[in-house]
Amino acid sequence: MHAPVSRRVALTYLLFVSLLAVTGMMQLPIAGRYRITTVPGLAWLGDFWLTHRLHYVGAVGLLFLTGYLATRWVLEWRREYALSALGWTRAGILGLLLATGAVRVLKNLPMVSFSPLPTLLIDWVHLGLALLLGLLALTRLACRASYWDGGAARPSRRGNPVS
Amino acid sequence: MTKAPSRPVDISRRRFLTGLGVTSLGLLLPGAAQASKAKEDDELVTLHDLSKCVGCGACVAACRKANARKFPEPVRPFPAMYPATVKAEDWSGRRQVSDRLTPYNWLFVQSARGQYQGQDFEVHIPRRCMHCQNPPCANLCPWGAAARENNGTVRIDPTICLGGAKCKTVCPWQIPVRQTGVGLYLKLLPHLTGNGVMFKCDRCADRVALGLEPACIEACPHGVQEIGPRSEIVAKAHALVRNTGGFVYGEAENGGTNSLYVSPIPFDILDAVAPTGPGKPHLSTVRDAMADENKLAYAALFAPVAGVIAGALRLGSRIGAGRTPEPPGNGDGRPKDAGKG
Repeated sequence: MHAPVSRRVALTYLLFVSLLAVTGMMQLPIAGRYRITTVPGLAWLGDFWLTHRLHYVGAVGLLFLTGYLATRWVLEWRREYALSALGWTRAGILGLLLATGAVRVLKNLPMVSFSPLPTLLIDWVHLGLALLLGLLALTRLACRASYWDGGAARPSRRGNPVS
Repeated sequence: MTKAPSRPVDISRRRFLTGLGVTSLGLLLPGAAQASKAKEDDELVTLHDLSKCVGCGACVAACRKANARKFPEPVRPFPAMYPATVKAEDWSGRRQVSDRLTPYNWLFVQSARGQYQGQDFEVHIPRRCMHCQNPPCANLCPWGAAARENNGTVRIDPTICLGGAKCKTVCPWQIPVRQTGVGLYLKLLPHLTGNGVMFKCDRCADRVALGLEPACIEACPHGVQEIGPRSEIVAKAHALVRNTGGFVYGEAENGGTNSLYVSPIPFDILDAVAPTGPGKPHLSTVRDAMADENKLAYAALFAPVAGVIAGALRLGSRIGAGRTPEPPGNGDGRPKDAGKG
């Protein structure tokens, strides 16, 4: 079964997730170490402040899109488009990823302090969930599975299932 | 015109969702953060009256003695780094260096000499981590090794830090200094990730936990420094400025720090003549590095609520226009057979 979302929405999701994945990875100090910054056009990846702010911008977009699609799914699409086990897994990972990210954003506000251990756990769980989400997407592609109940993924006139 | 029959909508569910949205909004509002929000007076602030400092270095010696057991003991040989352009940073053979910040010297005295209003001056400035109120090192550390504690102390956990030095890059004063050959990276991927541990002043967190003062404050024979709750120390700094015609540094820098300096000489003049560079932090004005993130944070906290509202409005507009809720397979709102024949 194909997805209820249009190709435009799917591409928007892909854009936000890709932006978050790239800028999130670049929060690790690897761009300079592995000379990614010397590749023409990629010097900006070594700017921690720029990638950090872009990560926030991507998060704003993904949070909005998630709220929008979750609402529409619950109110309009839920009966015809049940989530498969893979779909529920993605929804769970995405929800936890957004939740841990939101907690990290909250922690970064002035005068908000978390003790070191919760900070550490949030960081590591957020990083681990991002890797899981990537692995899940790769698994879906490799197995040609669907996030929706009713059969394997196949391109629709409206666009591919959101991946 | 008659309205097409719309799909029955479960009102109680909609109410539930509305309630959920409102509850989420409530949880995401800044007020909800109060539970974890440090009270301003939980913060301890140090005040340096620079008119009293003679640059004797007693604070530096006391700092080294009190923190000696925390200093790194690197394992040799250092792991070969990949790529080879990554260099080891080794201060273990220069442990006695005391005229700058190193992993073995978390406090040094910066001396500024010059002229102000036609008179010669010499001002000595004990320098170490400023312990920012909203520290970029702790906020941007991707590994959770740096954190700000409720009492305003910013610490780097040497058992977790991988020595990537991002904290140094984003610190407005580039305070932390790396020592290669120690820390967690040796047990993970020593050739590929990390390069040691970052070290800096932890404001004698262990002593403060026991109710003692940081060693530098206790050892000062001239009472240059004092430590106390933020409101009290800020008031003292302001009074000192009023009474001496002096100038304050650290109160507004980077959005506020927990290290205040009051000097009889303006800090821009001190900055111009003080020796600055690697391990020797400047005294320039510093804008709030996290200001943009703070604005974006509120956008991020409200974004899901806006998404829920947009989704609900989309359904409402369809029902209002006399159409059924979105039919299956038509995510863009066009009829299922749009474009056909």
